[in-house]
Amino acid sequence: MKTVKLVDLAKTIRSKNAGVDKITFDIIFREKEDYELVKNSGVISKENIAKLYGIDESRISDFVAFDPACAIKFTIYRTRPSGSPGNGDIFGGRPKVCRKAGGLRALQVCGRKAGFADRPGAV
Amino acid sequence: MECASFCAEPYGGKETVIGTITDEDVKVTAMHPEQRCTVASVAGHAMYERANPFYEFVPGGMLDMTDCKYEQIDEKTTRITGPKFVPAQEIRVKLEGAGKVGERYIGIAGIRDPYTIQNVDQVIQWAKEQVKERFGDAGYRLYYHVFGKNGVMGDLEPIKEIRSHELCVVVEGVAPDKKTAEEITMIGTRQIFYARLPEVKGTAGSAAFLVEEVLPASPAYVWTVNHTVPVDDPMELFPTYLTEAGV
Repeated sequence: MKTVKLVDLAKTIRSKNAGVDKITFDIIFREKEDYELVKNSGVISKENIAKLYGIDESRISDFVAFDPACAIKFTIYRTRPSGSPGNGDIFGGRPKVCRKAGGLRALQVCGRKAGFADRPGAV
Repeated sequence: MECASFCAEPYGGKETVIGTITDEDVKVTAMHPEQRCTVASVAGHAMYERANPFYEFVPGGMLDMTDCKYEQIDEKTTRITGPKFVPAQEIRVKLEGAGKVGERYIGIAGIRDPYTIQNVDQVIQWAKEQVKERFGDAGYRLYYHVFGKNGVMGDLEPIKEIRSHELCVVVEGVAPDKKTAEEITMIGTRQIFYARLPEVKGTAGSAAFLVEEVLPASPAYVWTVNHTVPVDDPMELFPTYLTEAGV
């Protein structure tokens, strides 16, 4: 099976705070066919995301394929609110994923870290 | 527009975008000569910093965008139609608030010794025990951020086996007063240096310190309120005043 890295298919891979207690992940594709390919492959699923991060599926609050944006989006609950003592990523901007067909492979994909205020809908 | 030209492409961040709202539609137009609001850029922004692109809760109801249609109507403008407003039973206003947890100090320790790196979890456990001996179990918080291992992602880090030849341990100590916070952080950091593990060959010195002291940091706060409250009048929590400004 041909293996493709998610970073080679997606235009944008980002994570950000969504409110005080969630981190949301957006995987946005430039080409509709790439989006459909990944969406239909089922590789990015609630189950695989939970497996990748070693979390229970119940920690994933939302999981949607968003056709108008050619994007797959999922959101996880933080174990404690953003900015709490002991929290290592106030903006939720770091955890990214990378996909390989036939299995999820964890990678830190380079992404822009926006230095915005720590609140929903910032700027 | 919220977030300015984040809903346009190519990415800019601070350029102007005009939104036009009518009873029939919303049009979003990029003003910068080099930018366009496209179906992809506008729909993409509908997801930004939100748990779900389909529902937006506001006082008095929810905007359901599940069936929204995005169309390119000219080079720089995207038109959105089809959102449905679902009124709520009562008007609720969002409340957010934070409370002080305590004073905070930060300690920084570098580790280069391969054995200490391999056993960093036990080293940290040892250091925690030393703090516990002196201050007990409760009344303070002590966190270890191990950069080079999982300092950024914490429990979400999928890479469990590390090959780092150096680690940076940031020790975060929080207590009701500055003196205790400093002491806790100091012991929690220093004891990385003295950790007694079975195969440690040296006497002391399995860590390197950037500074001899620990550093005062901003006080620690935590979100305490993230709720909605019902109101009779939507404006009752938002008093408005008219005044005349001198020219």
